[in-house]
Amino acid sequence: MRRARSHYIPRTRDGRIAVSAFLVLFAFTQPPLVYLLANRIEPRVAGLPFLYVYLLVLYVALIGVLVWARRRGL
Amino acid sequence: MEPWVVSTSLIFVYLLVTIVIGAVANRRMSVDLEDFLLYGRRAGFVVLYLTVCATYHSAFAFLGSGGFFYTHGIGFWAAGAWTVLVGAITYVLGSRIWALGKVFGYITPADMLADFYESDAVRIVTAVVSVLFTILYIQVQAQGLGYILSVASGDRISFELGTLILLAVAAGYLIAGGLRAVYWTDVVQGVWMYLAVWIGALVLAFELFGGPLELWRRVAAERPDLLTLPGPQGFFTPGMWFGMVIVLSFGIVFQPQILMRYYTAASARTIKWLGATTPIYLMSLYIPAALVGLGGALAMPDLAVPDTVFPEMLFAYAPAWLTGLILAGATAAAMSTLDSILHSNMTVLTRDVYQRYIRPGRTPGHYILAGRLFVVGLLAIGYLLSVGTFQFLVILVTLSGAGALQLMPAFLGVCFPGRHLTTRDGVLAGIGAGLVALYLTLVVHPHPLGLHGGVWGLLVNFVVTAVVSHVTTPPREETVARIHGAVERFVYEGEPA
Repeated sequence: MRRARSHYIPRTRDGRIAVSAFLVLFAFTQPPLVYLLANRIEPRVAGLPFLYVYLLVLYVALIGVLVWARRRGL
Repeated sequence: MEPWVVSTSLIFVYLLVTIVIGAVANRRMSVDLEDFLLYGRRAGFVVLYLTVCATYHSAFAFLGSGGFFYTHGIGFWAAGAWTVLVGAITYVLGSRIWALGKVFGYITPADMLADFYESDAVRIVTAVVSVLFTILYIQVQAQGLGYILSVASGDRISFELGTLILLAVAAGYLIAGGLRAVYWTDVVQGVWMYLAVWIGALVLAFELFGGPLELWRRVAAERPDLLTLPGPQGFFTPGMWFGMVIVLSFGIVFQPQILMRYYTAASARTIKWLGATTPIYLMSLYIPAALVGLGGALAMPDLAVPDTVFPEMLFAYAPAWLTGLILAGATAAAMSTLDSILHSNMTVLTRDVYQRYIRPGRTPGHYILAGRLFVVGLLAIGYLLSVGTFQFLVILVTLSGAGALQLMPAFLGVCFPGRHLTTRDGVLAGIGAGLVALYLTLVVHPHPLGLHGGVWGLLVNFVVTAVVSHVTTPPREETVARIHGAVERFVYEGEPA
């Protein structure tokens, strides 16, 4: 029986970049990394607590990956 | 003019706007099942964007998220992670669901699964899971609506009457205009609720603290326990953080009101841009929610019900007209989810039950009438559940959030060709085992080892699905080639015809 190739592994260079970037950035928003790296108030960034800004930056970067993927036609 | 008159009047003005939109949608409707149930698969980016966002964010986002920040602190900012994940799932999975729906004419989630797995049992189980685990959200949203109207009117409109009025309005415009009315009202609701949360939070932050930055500074100085994990009550453990991210992203996406929205996109471009950009709206709504919750923890530290922090602060510190506008926004948040659940349950009951097993082969007009009657039935059930107290509902509500998550392995088997095929028996066994595991890890022994019960249910489901699929008969070669071939052509060769 002839099967379609697996869709779990990206086939193009842009696909590999997008998936890798998303997974790596997302891992930094999850345990244990978020607890190890960012679970603190200081140093404050623009008056905001560190944990809040750390996550906000990662969320914006993740959205950036999705927009980049769309613009690359993935 | 007294504040309650202003607040209540503004909510009724908002309701009038939704009724007018429903009437206009009714005039545009044709006697066509796809038009009534799926907006004719013609939803453009703006309409689809706002309806998905408004449907995802319910009364919980408006009232409950502030309560979460109030009680458990910054841990609820994990919400950003699950909203970003919703965007990625929509991009990758939603676009495939859209493509298959367009090629094979699917209307409900069960249509797709039953076609691939060649099974009426899969259709029935999917329909039951879809309805059972979302119908209770009608109750949750309706109770939120009754509460809002009751609070806005200073208890002059009873909770029961408020619930009935708002349920009837939502059901009314759905009956009149089908999904078109739902989408158009969702556009208004999506804009209104977003502006309302931001404006309300900023006004309170400036009024009470002199601005958001000063608010954050005061929280850091006076309640630093709210700004680190796991929070004052130890709620946001690593297992709970990860579990909520999974359950509130995949768990919501696999509910029928979201899945069916994927079918309605006008093009692949629309659905992919939707995936790339929905997290902007979904995530940024929690920024003002944090201001409300954390500010409330300083300004009103002894609230008996933390979820009321937003309206309580508004009544105490904001002008009446603004309070009314924002409570109308809260009404919009609840109604936009409520109407979508009513619509999806109506569609599942009409398409998967009535059209297939009770009255097959009738005219589109007959099924549209049947759908409208289902909405009336759902309205009655929703009202009775809202005003009554039923002990078994407590268990079902507990299970609801992660219930639809149990459909995930089945959808992955259809939409992601891989080395191993998922089978009908695997899917049925996996869903059954997953639901049992969910009951055990959410109700009997909640969150074993600190990991959210929804994740335990999903893990058991995946293992059972894989093992049983390995030893049972896969779908026929022609079926696999037809559906996986369509996915392959869509992903690597462009849009379906």
